[in-house]
Amino acid sequence: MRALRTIWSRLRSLWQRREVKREIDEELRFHLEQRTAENVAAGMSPEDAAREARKRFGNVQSVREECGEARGASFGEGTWKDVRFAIRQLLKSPGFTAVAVISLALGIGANTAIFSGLNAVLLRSLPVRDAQDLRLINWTGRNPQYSGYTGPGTTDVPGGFTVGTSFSYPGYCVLRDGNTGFSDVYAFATKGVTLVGHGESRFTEALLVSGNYFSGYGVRPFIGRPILPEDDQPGAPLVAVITYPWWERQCGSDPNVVGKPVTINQHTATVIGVLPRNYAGPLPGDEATVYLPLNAQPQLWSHQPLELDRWWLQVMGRLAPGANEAQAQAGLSVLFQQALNQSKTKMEQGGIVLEDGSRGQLILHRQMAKPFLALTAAAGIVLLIACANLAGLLLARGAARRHEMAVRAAMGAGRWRLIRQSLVESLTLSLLGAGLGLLVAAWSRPALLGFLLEYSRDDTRFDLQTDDRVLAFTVLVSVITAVIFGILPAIRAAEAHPAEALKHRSAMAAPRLTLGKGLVAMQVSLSVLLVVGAGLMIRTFANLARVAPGFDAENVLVFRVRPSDAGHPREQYVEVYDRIRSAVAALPGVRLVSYSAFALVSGSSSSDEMELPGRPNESGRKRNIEYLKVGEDFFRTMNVPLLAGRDFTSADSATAHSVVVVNQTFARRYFPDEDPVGKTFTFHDQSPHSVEIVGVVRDTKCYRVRADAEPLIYVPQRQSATRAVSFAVRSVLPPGTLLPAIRQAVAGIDPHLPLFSISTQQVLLDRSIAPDRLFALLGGALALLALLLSCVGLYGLMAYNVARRTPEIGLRMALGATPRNVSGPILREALWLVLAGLAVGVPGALALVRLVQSQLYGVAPADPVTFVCGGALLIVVAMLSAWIPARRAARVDPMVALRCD
Amino acid sequence: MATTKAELLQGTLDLLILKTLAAGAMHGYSIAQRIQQRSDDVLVVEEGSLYPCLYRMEEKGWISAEWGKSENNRRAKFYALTRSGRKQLEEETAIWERVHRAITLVLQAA
Repeated sequence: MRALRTIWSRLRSLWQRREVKREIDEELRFHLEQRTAENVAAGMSPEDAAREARKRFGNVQSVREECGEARGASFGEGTWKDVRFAIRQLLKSPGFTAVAVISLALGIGANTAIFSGLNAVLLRSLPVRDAQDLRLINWTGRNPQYSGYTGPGTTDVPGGFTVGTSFSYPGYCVLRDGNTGFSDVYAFATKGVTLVGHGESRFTEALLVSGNYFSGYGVRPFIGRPILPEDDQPGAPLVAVITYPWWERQCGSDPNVVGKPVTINQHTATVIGVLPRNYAGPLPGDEATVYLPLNAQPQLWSHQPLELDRWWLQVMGRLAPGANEAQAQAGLSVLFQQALNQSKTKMEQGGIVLEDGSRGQLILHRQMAKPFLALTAAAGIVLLIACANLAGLLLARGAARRHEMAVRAAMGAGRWRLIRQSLVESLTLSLLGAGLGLLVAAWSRPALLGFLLEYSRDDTRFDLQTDDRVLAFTVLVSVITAVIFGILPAIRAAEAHPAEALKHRSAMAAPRLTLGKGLVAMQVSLSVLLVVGAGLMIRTFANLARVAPGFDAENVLVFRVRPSDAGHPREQYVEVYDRIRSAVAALPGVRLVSYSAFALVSGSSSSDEMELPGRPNESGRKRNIEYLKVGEDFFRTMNVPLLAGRDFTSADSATAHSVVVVNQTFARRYFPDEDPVGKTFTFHDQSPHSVEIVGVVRDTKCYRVRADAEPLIYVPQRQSATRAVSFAVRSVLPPGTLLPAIRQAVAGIDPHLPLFSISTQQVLLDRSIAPDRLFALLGGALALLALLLSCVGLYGLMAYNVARRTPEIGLRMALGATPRNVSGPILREALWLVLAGLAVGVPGALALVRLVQSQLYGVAPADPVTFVCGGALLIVVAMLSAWIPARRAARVDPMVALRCD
Repeated sequence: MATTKAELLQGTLDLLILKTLAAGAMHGYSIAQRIQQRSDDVLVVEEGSLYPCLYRMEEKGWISAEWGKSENNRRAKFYALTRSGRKQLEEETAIWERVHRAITLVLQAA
């Protein structure tokens, strides 16, 4: 307790130095005046009285100082003096300071940048009331078999269980209505909508929410009222809550917006509220501009009744105050079992698992946790290398300053005083480094933002601002860094023996830096990890970039349309698609037009069950097959060669018998020794039916570039149309130039039909491997940084050795040693250091690369090329940085060297 | 001041201050006065040295300080014994008495 108080009073006096001094002065003045007054009362003259008082008091100045010191004022003063002294010392050797600060700035900057990303994506809580009470409600079970599932997908966890986040509406209602320790169990899902505003149709996203969403999630509208349970009833008047950006942009920040109509999918809804500016939805990076009640769904999307046994809703809950989480989970599990009994969906051992919901749905979290962890580790290694550099530099500097330290020790500076001085120096360095590091982080923010965006969908918002947490992280890192790299040299420096001060400066031969050698070897081994890691990432990206997608992406524009939202019934879809197709085909510059359920390598895929006659599946489970529903001429438009059979024609209509075209892998896997054309199998799209294979096409990348070729079937849209399609327009002109004409052509067919997801096939292709590119880029940058820092470390050590041994080298040269005799051992020493580092680093890297295996493509974790090239690179770079001091040694002038004493 | 002045033994000033303050809170000037009076003017504290001593004792937590009004209504810093100061006084008194006895014994033996 007392120690605490002492520390507190010292800290306080650090800030209140002036105040403390003023108090001391006042107290002493009081004493002197009292004494003077007494003397006067005893009959002295005022001058004599004052003189006598001072005489009795003693040296006022030294008393003042002594009081201040006793009071700890000196502590603050001493530290401040240390800082000033440290800055003077650092300014005296600008080269050392620059290298040190830049090393640190790069190390700390890299860490801060990565951390700000980590913070934005993985750590920051949602801006809602008591976010810590939110829980994600996920289901878990074995062998789930659902009739329709959309959402972030499911994950298989050890033990044969599958975990999923989507629920059906009836299932959700069971969870909501059972009382299980939650104040609210709410549901939501995103849907694409066509909003009409300012006479223009716009395709955007809506979040459909349950009536208790706003109370459960903990958000109040900024104007108006939230969606309430009574709004979420079948047949209730259609209402909408809009987001702040939409209100600002599309409504011109109209304060009277509440009560005004907005047109959604051709239906009129009333705006009832505007969300606050800093609002963020529970789905990461969600782009919803309008919030609608769940029960508006049957009205707005007539093709999907709400009660259908389709799993599409995300469910979250807010724990009631004082609720027991385990009991709540058990209660929900029982309800979920009931819901399963009423559902067509079946799974074994179904149950509910709760997850922390304070950061919203963890989809992005799951995707990014691994790459981020790898990047964080890499950045940490870079910082460690920077620390080793600093420690090495400080050791060398400490060795050079041994005489100074010994003199100071001889003059009475305590051991602790010397350590403190060294630590203040390294702290000053690291804070300078941290300041610059924040700049580095700010400068690398756009690159990092790009990285995050490529990982998620386009135009997602991310907030990478440097918040308190990021700042605190930076300061913490820099203080820890200062201690790590400062403590050893500080203790070394404080070992200075006063007696050594008496020796002549030259008699104190600079010591060998055994510790310094160890540091350099460690830097090399850490660099191996990063260089090899980055090498693997770069090779992965190179492989992906070289992958032939199986189609021709050049000059192909893609865009999506969704006739269902514009009020077209299902029977009209193909007709709408056909009309768009012929209208666009008639435009000048267009060579071929076709369409498919989604664009190739856009990251979407669909699959369903199939049964092959005479080929029962080994595991007894249903066999899934990926499929893509396409229009006519799709293969010609995408330049996918037809290897056998025929393409779809307009004769493959809904009334004709069902046909499919299969890819090469399908043919090879299921019909290895026969001609697949003319064969039939059962396909479960909607209802099981027999389909005939009419053609075989070459393999293409369908889902994404990374995916290996899997069996894929193409189904004609004419026989089974999708609600939305992606058009592909192959042109002779650059694709972008056609867009205005295409818009006009589509508007001529239906003015309520907006184009969305407009892109080019090349952009989709690039985007598909963009995360890998950025990962390679960031990994490469970090590895380069590590290399650079290690080189500086090695160079520093070698340069120190050469400087230390200059007299010896001079003597040897004088005795007839050739420059080669002199530089040889230096280079050899450097080589040994690197080899020692490699001896530790390579096995370490071999062990660690397995962790990033899933991120690799077309390259083994223990890729010999990468390892050999990485090792060779390190040796070459190390030899280069040792060569400069070696050359300096070879040029030592014997006369100068011998005289330098 | 014609009387013989005795130099204070090292460390005894602490004890004198503690003992003086045991009578109640007072400011630095009256502590100096009191010590001098009580010792029949034998012990003259070098008045300046009193203050660093007071500050050190305050840091150690034996005494606490507070600004107040002096007899003639001026701002002055008053010192008072704390609980640990009282304990310290007891301990130091005991030590002093032991040393005193020991020295007396030595002197009597001679």
